[in-house]
Amino acid sequence: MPHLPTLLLQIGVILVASRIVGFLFRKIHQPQVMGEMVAGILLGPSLLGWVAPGVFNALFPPESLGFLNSLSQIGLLLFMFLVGLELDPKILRGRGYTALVTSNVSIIAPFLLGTLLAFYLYPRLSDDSVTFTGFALFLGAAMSITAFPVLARILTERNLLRTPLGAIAIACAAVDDVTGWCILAGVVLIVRATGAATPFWLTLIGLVIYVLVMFFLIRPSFHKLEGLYEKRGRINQNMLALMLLLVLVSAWVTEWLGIHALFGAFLAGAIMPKKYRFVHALTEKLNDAAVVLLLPIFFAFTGLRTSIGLVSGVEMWFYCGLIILVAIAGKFGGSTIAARITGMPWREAGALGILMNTRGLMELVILNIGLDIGVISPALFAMMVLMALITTFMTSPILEWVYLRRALPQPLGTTVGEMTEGFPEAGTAE
Amino acid sequence: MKAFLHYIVLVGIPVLSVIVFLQIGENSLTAPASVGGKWQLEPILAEGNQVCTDFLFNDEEPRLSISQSGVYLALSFNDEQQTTLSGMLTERTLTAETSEVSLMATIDRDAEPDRLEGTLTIASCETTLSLSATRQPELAQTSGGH
Repeated sequence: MPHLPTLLLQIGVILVASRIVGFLFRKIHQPQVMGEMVAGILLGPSLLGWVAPGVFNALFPPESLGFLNSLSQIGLLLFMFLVGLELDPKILRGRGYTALVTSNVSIIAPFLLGTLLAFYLYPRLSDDSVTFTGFALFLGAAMSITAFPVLARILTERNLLRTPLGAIAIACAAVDDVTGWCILAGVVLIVRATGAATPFWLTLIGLVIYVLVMFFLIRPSFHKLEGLYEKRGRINQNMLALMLLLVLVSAWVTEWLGIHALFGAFLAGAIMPKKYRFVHALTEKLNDAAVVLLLPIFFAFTGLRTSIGLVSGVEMWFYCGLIILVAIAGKFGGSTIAARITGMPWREAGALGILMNTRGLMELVILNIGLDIGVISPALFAMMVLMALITTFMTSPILEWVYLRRALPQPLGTTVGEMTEGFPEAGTAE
Repeated sequence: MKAFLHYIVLVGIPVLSVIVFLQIGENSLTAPASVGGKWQLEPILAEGNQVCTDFLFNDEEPRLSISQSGVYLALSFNDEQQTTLSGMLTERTLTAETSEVSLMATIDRDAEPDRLEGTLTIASCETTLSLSATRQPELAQTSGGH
């Protein structure tokens, strides 16, 4: 049984820290979620555990972390469901080619550079319990992710969502998200398949059957739910319970198949009906509890696993710098060049590259999966958390400097799907 | 046609390159031996030197935890002070030290479970003790979660 007073105290401290640091970060024109991520790190061994080890050990005794982890996982499941819910193929309408090429290049370029970087890092920062393929694939996948929710928030705050740049960026991020999660599912499958009791082909067949059932059996049923919502004008508790049950069952199936529960939650959101009013109503029901209460717990749990002290010495900081450099070069460089080749002016292409370089909390989700399955070491985890923080932090000021001060965005009118109007609220960690 | 060529150059070729690089890496690279996890320390042969080891092994079940990041290691004893040493792994030899304690050991991967054999030097005692440890199998594989 969890020691309830300790758990309540932990959640209270996490909530206060995330709101205060989030508020301070908003003052410097950073998204709230950036502050919450930093608050998580500050509560971990990197700061609190370092300056006040007694307080840290009393507040986060090792035996209590299992309960905190369970809560953070529930929060993540809900959050991933909301991220899937936000994805709407309509946002690709009219910009399919640019979005597809830019998005695909913005994935494959950092993936390729990540694989090359693995040649250097594998003999230095990995061990022989991990195969080179697993290590390189994971590094590539982690380098190529874009934080769709954080990107949506930045675009909204900067009034860019209805500009051609914003529309392309959000479409690219949507394609990136789906592709990135598919790649990661494959990577987890490959890594976990090593030494697993279930043969790889059996897991793969199970996965294909599961996806087909979700799209061709479950999805039509939930479209009927949307009709019910239209008739009643609200989502009642039974409808909500049914949708939450789908999230839990879907998450359980993917976890059982050996991928990860988060993929199931994401797919449950992706197959939901996409009419704006329905998505908005469902998001309103879930968003606040997931984003305000449970997500900061995930950030704190990530912070508790992040020991920046492990990155010590010139060599380790060199590796860390190299990871950050490669991540930026791959994502920013790849997106910019692809956007330019598909016809965007240099400035817009550069701005798109900067936006796509935002990794945010999606990176933290992936890194936690990597640490869980043992494909990255604690020190590499800390380095990549730093990379996620830096690439997210740099987006707003560099965008301001490169693009916003020099070019007035031209409004796009109403061609962006109505779905995107919901971004400020919809599943978005502020 | 131009769009198709763009796609092949920008996406197709890099995808093929990744596949080739993965194959090359798998066949040519080796990573350091895995030593991360918990190790059960066996009683140290320290005739007449009980006082030297007491501060490190005052627990009934003395353990050594190794956090591994490739060749870089952080070793922690489960004593009251949570004595921690930074170390390196060179092939099968593990070395770690602080100003007070230094450790040198070799990992035996052929033993079942893995074993560490080596020496522990405690500066204040001006003595070198032999050290043996057995890897705790259930914690040997992963470093976190689940």
